[in-house]
This record gives sequence, C-alpha cells and structure tokens, in this order.
Amino acid sequence: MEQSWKVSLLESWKKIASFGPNLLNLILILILGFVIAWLLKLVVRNLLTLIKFDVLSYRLGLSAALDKASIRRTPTEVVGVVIYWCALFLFFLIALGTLNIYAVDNLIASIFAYIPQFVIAVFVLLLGYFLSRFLSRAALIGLVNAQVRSARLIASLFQILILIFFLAMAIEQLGIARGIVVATFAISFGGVVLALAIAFGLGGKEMAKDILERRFRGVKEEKGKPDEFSHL
Amino acid sequence: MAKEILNKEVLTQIKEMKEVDVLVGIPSFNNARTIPHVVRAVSAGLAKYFPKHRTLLVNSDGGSTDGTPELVKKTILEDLDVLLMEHPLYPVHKIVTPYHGIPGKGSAFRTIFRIAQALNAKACAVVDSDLRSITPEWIELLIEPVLIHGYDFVAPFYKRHKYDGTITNSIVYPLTRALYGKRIRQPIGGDFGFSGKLANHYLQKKVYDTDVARFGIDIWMTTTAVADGFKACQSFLGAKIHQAKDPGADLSDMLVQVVSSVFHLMEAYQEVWAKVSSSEPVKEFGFQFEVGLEPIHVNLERMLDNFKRGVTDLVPIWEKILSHDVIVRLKEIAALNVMEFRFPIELWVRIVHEFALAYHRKTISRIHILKSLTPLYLGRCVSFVNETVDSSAEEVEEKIEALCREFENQKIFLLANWDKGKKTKSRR
Repeated sequence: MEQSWKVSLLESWKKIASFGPNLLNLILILILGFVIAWLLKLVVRNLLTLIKFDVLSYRLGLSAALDKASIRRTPTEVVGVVIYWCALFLFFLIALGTLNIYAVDNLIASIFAYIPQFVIAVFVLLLGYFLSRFLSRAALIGLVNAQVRSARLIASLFQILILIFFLAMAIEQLGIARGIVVATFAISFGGVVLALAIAFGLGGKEMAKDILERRFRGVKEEKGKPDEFSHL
Repeated sequence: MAKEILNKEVLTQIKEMKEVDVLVGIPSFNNARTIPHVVRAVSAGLAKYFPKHRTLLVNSDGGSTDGTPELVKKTILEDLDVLLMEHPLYPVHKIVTPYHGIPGKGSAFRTIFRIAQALNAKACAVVDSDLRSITPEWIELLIEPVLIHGYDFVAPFYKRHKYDGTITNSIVYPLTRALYGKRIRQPIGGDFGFSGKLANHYLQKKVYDTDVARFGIDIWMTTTAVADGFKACQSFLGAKIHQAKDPGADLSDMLVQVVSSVFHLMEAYQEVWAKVSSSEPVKEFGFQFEVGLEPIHVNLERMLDNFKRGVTDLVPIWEKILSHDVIVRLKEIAALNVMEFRFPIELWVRIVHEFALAYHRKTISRIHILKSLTPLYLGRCVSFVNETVDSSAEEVEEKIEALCREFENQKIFLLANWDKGKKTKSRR
C-alpha cells in the first residue's frame, strides 16, 4: 500500500518536473513574442507613414469609417495595433504548444487551420466596405445629376445591399451556418428586388409607360422642352 | 524609333507628293450628312486663297459606317470659275485614311500631325466635320496668320449666342486665361491653325495613349501651344453652327471630359502657370461683324432644381472638396427662387479653384470630384442667364470679362494652396 502511494507520488513529481522546462519555454516565447510584436508594430507604422497610408485611407473612406466608429486613432496607428495583437496572439498559441497538452495541441492546430479562412473573410469584408462606399457615392452623384428624387435614400440602400452581399460572402467563408446564411441572403436579396420591381411597377407606372413609349414607339417628350444651347 | 502610324497606301501618296505648303485636316466619324459641305468649303478655301501653294486635304476617319470616307473622295468643287479670281497652279490633293489608336479626335489629329510632318507642311489647319457654317474664308483666316505673319497657333473666335458655350465662358476661358496669361477666347473651339513646327512638337508629346486621344485634344492643343511658348493669335470666323448633337448626350460626361483635361494640364504645366500673374490680349485677325442668332430655349427651373438637389444630397461629398464657408454660402443661395437666383462670381471662382485643388490632391476619386461639379455648374448657368436676360452681346462680354478678372484675382489662393495640404485634408 505504502509502495503504491510512493510510486504515484514519484510519477506526479516526474510529471511536474518535466512540465517545468515547458513552462519556462512558454514564458520565454511569450517574452520574445512581446518584443517581436512591438518591433513589428514599429516597423509597420513607419512603413505606412512612409507610403502615406493615412492619405490613402482618407481617400478610400477608411478614416471616415474610423470616425464613425468613434476610433480616435489614425488608420496607421490602428493597423499597428492590430498587427501587434495578431502577432502576440500567434506567439501565445506557439507558447501554448510547448506545453505538449493533447487538447491544447488540437485546439491550436484547428485555430491555425482556421486562420486563412479568417484572413480571407476580413479581406472580403474590407473589399465590400470600400466597394460599397465607392459605388454608392457614384450612384448618388449619378442620381442627383439625373435629377432623381430621393437620391440619397436610393444610394444608401444600394450601399447596404452591397454590404449585405459581402457580409454573406464573409460569413460563408468562415463556415458559419452556411445553409442558413445563403438561404437568408437569397430570400432578402430576392425580396428587395421584388419589392423594388413592385414599387416601380405601381408607383412609377406612368414613368415606366413614358420610358417604354419613348424607347420603342419614338414618342417625343412633351413635358419640359430640352435646352437648345450648347454647353461647349 | 517611333512606330509608324501611317499605312502603306498613305506612305506611297506621301512619297509621290514629297512636300506640301498648306495642309487642312478633317477628323471624322459617321459625318456623311455634313462632311461634303466641309470638304467643299475647305477645297474652295485652299484653291481661292492659296492658288500658288501646294495644298492637301486630309481626312482622318475613325471607321465610319455611313460612307463618310467615300463621300470625301467623291466630293469635288463645282463652279470653280465663279469662286476663283485666278486658276490654282496646283490641284488640291486629298488623302483619306483611317486612323489607328484609341478611338477619338485626338488619335485622328495625331495622324494629321504625322502627315504634316512627313510632307514638311509649312502651315496646317484642322476643322470639325459637322460644321454647317464653315466658309472658304475660314481656311484663309486659320492659315494666313501662320503662313504670312509667322504665328504658330491660331485659335478660332466665333460669334455665339449669349447662352451658348457656357462651359467655355464660365470655366475654360477664364481659367486658362488666368493660368497661362493669354486671352484666347475660344480655347476649345475645335477649329485651329498651326505651323508645321508646332505639328511636329505636338507629335513628340507622349499623350496619345491617354485621355487626350479620346477627348480633350482641343484644350490640350491650345494649352500646349501657349504654355510651351509658341506664338499664338486668334482669327474671327463668324458664327459657329454645328450639326445638332445627340440630345441624350450627358452634360455631366461632357463637363467631366473638358474640366478633367484642364485640371490635368494644370498639373503638367504647374511650373509655367505659377509664374504668370496677369493676362494679355493676343493678336486678332479677321473682320468682326454681327451675326444674326436665333433665340434659344433654356429651362431654368430644371437647371435650378438640379442645383438644389445637389445642395440637398451632395454636401457629404462636397465636404471633401469645398471649404466649410463655401458650403454654407451654397446652402444660403439654394433657398432663392428661380427669378431671384444669383450665384456670385467670387463664390463660383472659389469653387472652381477648390475643385482643381481637390483634383490635384485626389481627396476622393477624381471621377467623383468632377461629376459632383455638375449641379454647381448648372446653378452658375441659371445665375448667368438671370444676370444677362436683357443684356446685349457687348454687355454679356463685359460680364465674362468681370469673371475672368475674378479668376485672375483669386489665382493667388490657388497658388498658395497648390503645394500644401496634400495631408491637411487627410483627417477632416
């Protein structure tokens, strides 16, 4: 009895003793991670300042997005912070790997496998944001120049539609409830298009008739004579 | 060595002709309805005013499908004896050729410049193929200042209805005059005279793969001639009447094309215009006379509605282009009704300058900057019509002169802000 108690105590001690160096490794990797993440942040910030990333962000509308989100840092600072935390997170995962715990190893492997999907999803979201801003701005100007009423509302709806589309793509990429996301998007998108078609058909019946008549019967516009002067 | 842009047939014709004194180019694309008249006027002008010179008419066509090139070849001058005092020593030669490159007037002109260079032409002219008011005298007025008086560039000067050419009158003429210091009244007239030397200079420029080849060739030719120090003048041609344009042609696109060309050239010639502080008249040729012009219809309500819609909806975009005080003033005038609507010239000039600065700094996409100018331009048009409703042609010209002076006065603002502020608006 006493013998078996001694053996189990010894084995426990051996396990703790073998865990010690791993713990030391973990601490060392974490310290190294802090240093490298900090250096990476510094390098990225300097690089972005050099290529005038803040000016570019202003043009692309990223600064406005940060303003809206009440983030008072410059886009360069934001990217620096994101890089810092990403690097730190990666080093944390690497450090956990040194402990040789089966469950932790599995978790780390699945997180690493998920990273590419996550990066692509973030990229898709960013692309969607910039594209939606650019296209909705183009639509707004075009609608105002074409003297369409409620131009701002239409342009905003257009932007939301594009954002929803890219959000659905990002969620699909992340593999979250794939079937539901696709079905929801298809139903919402189809619903919006149907609603617009009905709204145009009912509300703009006369306008649609005018457009079709002018297009196919060559009926000339009676209302509002066109200007006769040349702008050039 | 630059790649040859002329085809073998044209090169053979050039080889046979060896040299010409006077060359007139007509760019075309589906102009079968109007081009016979233009060809007859040009041929008559060459035969009547340059009978002792070797002359050539060049048609540079963009692939017309309505038989335009065939019509140019077929069209001949009848009743030559009625027109001419003396019989020409040389016949008027013709070269009809398709042009290569990006479709547009600029590429057509490039072919004309190349032929002028190959034939060592002394004086050249280009005229639009949709002109209804061209007479043989136009050729004399565009060529003679070059051939006889030693000028390198001849701009056209037309009599137009007071509401015609509003982009020219409210932006292009005053802005280019203030920038480059030469009072060329129709810088985008489209019908120009130029020396062989200048044709050669145009040909050396590497712009034919850019938007200049598509559009903006007119302002590019004028600006290049003036900014590069060529001797410029203008000739009075009378009235300019075109074949009616497509009524569906989008004003916004037209405005974008012209204004982007002017703004683009501002960047290219910044060192030139930065040194210019005043303007001077250029020598004028031709006998000025009054031209009977038909009254024209202008829909002020629609234009003002467009301006007001812009003030309602485009302010978030204008905030990236215009100063806060300018936007406040725009909101104030947007409250006026159509009869009392006035768009002060100093406000308009400030807006044009701030748009030029935003274009230079690329505060947002350049196409968005340019397209968002349309409602403001229409607002200025409404004001101009209101200001000149009872004015004579001379009074209208005085108004345009006042606008030009305002552009010259405010140039200091443009200069002061040109090089700074690429970052200042980055976190507005």
